[in-house]
Amino acid sequence: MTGNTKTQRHEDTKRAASKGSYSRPSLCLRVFVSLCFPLLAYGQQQNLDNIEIHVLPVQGNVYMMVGAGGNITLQAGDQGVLLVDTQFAPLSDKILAAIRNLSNKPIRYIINTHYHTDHTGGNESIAKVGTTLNVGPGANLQRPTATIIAHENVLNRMSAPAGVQPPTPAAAWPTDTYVSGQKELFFNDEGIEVIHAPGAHTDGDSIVYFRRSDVVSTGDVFNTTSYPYFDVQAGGSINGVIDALNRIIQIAIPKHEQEGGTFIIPGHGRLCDEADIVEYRDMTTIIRDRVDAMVKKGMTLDQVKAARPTKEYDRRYGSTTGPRTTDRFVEAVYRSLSAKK
Amino acid sequence: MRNHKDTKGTKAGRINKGLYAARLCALGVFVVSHLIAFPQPAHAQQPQNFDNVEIHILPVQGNVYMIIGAGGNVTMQAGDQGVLLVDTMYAGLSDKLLAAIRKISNKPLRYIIDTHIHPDHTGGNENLRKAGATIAGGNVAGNIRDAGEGAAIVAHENVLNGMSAPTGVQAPAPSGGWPTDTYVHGQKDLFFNGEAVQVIYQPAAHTDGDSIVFFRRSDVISAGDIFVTETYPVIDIQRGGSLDGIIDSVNRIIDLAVPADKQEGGTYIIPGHGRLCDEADVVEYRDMLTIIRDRIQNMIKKGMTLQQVKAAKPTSDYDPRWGATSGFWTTDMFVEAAYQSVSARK
Repeated sequence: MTGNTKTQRHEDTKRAASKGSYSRPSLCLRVFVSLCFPLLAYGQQQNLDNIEIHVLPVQGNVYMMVGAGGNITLQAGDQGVLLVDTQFAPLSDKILAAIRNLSNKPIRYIINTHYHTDHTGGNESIAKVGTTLNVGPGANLQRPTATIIAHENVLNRMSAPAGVQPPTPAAAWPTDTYVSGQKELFFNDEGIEVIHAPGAHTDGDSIVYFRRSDVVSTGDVFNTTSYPYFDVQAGGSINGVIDALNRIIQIAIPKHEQEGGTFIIPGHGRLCDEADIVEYRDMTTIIRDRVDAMVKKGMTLDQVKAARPTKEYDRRYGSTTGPRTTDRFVEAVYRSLSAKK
Repeated sequence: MRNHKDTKGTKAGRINKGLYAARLCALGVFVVSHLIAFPQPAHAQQPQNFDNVEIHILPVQGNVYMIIGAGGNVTMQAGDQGVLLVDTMYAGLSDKLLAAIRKISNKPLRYIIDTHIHPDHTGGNENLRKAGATIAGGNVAGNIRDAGEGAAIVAHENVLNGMSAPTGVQAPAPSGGWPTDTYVHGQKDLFFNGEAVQVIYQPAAHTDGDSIVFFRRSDVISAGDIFVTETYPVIDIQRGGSLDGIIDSVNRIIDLAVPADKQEGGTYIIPGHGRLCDEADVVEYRDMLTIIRDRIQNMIKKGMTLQQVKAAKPTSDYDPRWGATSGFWTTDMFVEAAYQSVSARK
């Protein structure tokens, strides 16, 4: 789909220093303060040469792939391969090699949970290698690459109006978008729901639910390595994050004594089940409520920070260095709550 | 006393190649809108002649089977942990039903889920429960009954309310058949035989205590009497049912269902009465109900009386498929119930 006429302003690349900025893949080696690189130093030059891609079978048809950037979810079966997110462009060769270890069937679908480059960087190089499934209405028989599915706001943020230089190449853009509610597919013998989580990490978040395999890919609304990060500039909000977490909890059903059952693949971090996400939701809700109470009392940001609303969680989720510090989180929550009516 | 049509003539089931059509059993219950009292307890019911009823089993997909006999369709999920049933038909068929279950699995019956209160769906509760053995541990501590005694019966709270009575008052149904695990709103989740099972409340639909049951991995939905394939849906207004609620519930089923290819297959739906379906069948049914509801709504806005509405024949194009002029639920009864239901809206 070529850039449409939406007047959404794409993020200026000059904003690299602020949270949630989006740079072209050619600049992806520059660090984005908004993005978490779990394995590497947060230096200017990111060296992806030493990154290995690790593959973890989850359950059913679903695998989790971990490298640098956001976790990838892979679903493989007779009809081909489906990916949720594509990490960074320079890792595409390694990612493709890892996929080929599991399946030599064509890559049919890429689903993007949101527009950040650590989740969409590989779109172009991976989609190019794939072949769309020519079924259903609107199938573009001319289009030989994999279908890229995402919420419309992902397309909006990756593209630009005619005449304006877009932030990413057109070949990386979503080809099938949806606007509200959810988009359903049936692939490799299971229903797959791509569910919109409005105003959460960004304004274009999708949660992907593999029905028969019983796995949920959350994107960055949930991670196990830091406080929730949400991109206020890109339409994210703390309340949206909490709603998204509750939505995931609603979908998840544990197997026995609150263990197992539905597995959840976070945007960053380890594989989880419902109990893990409940703990994360509780933490986020408690901190949100505390900051909300302080905002209502008219406290300033500095006063809120001094009151340490995250104190007991800092050892688990907090950080004083890197792109996602505790301070940044408290500030983001404060701004998110102060801005709401 | 519930009135039963006698069995003349309509018992012969038609079994299509590869599909079992539900018997349009004239023994079917008719919870008709003008029926007031819950029937006598099952064992005191007018004895039905079930001698000639055969039980048929249709494997659906995953762990799920559909069992057809007389009364409501039964859904069975079987696996290593045991057997789960949705609905239990009539009490008089319990032996045959158990025999059928034993053809598929000899593991204990752990759960019975009731989609709603009517006796063609709950009649066998007591017999089947006693034949079962609840799973120990987990949520069992909250049961009303002794945890060691019989299978758990899961249903919406209004099913329990309708089957029981305050102390000192004769209960409409024997306590052995009452739900043991109830929920009030939203849904109740279980995980059984390797898959999540969701029991989802559908308020004010066929009755006020309806649940649909969604077997997540097997990808099968048991719809109860919210969705039937052989007649217009029964709206049990006395029990809090409404046409709008049925339409909302059918839309919920459509929301849950994901078809596999070209709108076929994928999620299967087991209706309360009638044949196995997929999403496209439910969509057709939803469209029919919505169109008829809208027509009647317009007529009511114009101030038409029930007689006038009936004369205007708001269902005429659908009658060959869903209509009936005799039996337990006729087109006239449906139009009347729809009229009352829509008029009663605020």
